[in-house]
Amino acid sequence: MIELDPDAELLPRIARGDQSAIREMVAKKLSRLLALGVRMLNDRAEAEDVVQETFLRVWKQAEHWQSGGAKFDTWLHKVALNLCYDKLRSRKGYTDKDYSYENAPELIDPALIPEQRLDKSQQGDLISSALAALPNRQREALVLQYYQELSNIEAADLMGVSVDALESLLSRARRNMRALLAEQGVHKA
Amino acid sequence: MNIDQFIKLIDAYGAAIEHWPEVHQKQAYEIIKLNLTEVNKAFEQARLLDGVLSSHAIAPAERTLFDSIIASAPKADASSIKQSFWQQWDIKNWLGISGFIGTGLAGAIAGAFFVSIWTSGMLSESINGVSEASGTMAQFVDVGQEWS
Repeated sequence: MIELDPDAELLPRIARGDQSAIREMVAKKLSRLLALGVRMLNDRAEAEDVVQETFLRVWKQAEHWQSGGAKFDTWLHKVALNLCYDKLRSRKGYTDKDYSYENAPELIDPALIPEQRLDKSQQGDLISSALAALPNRQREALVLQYYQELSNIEAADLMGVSVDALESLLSRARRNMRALLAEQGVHKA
Repeated sequence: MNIDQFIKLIDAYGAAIEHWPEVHQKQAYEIIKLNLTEVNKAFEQARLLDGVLSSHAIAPAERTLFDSIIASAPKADASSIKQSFWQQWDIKNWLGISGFIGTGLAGAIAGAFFVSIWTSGMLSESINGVSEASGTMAQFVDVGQEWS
């Protein structure tokens, strides 16, 4: 069965400069792309640049879009992720971390509910820092599968890895997040 | 699915089984129902991490960002509006318009045809001097004429 792409109908209208289609597309995708950028870059200004550039690519691509291939949302994520990686690579002293907490001791105390220990803003900052501390590919896997709610097949496809490899990245990402959050006090070690 | 596979999957996808790949969901629920210590521990760990991760909210986009993106979008210039109008006119309306004209034309031809038959019949009757309607009248007139 062919799955219909809910965004594809807007693209020919966008190519003709139909303002209602343009507004609809931006309203649908802006928050989603901004969240992706902020979580990947941990920098809102850079994330906003990425979002603006992504939409410029959408406007250029609209008249050439052909349904039947990749879903538009998947393509959009690919463009935004590539732009995020450009930003990461342009940072001074950029290196992709390659560490793992796979052998770290169990750090979570299940009796402690983190929301009781930190206010929302503090906890948000700590989660941002922990996400930023993950190796890029692990962060990408977690952001795509958990936050962007892409299916495992879509996320693996986007990352150019098998589903098994995606699951391995996700496991390591979650394990590292637990350890990093514990280090920063979200969970008690 | 065995326990090890369940733990491997919950490590990857978290405790929200509805977000797991659909193919594994039913078996995962069955394993949770077994209420095994190892499974419960893995589930609780995953649930706690999910709780922390899901609390990470991103502030919505500012109106200025929305407006600047809209401003960067292609504009429909006059020629493209004109072209678009005529393209749409051609596609959407031509059949309707031609159908309307065609129907009207067919009606006119049919009407003309019947009128021509009818008038040619009247003409021939007029030439003979009698018609069914006028024949009665002619008889009536004739009778009247006899009384006088």
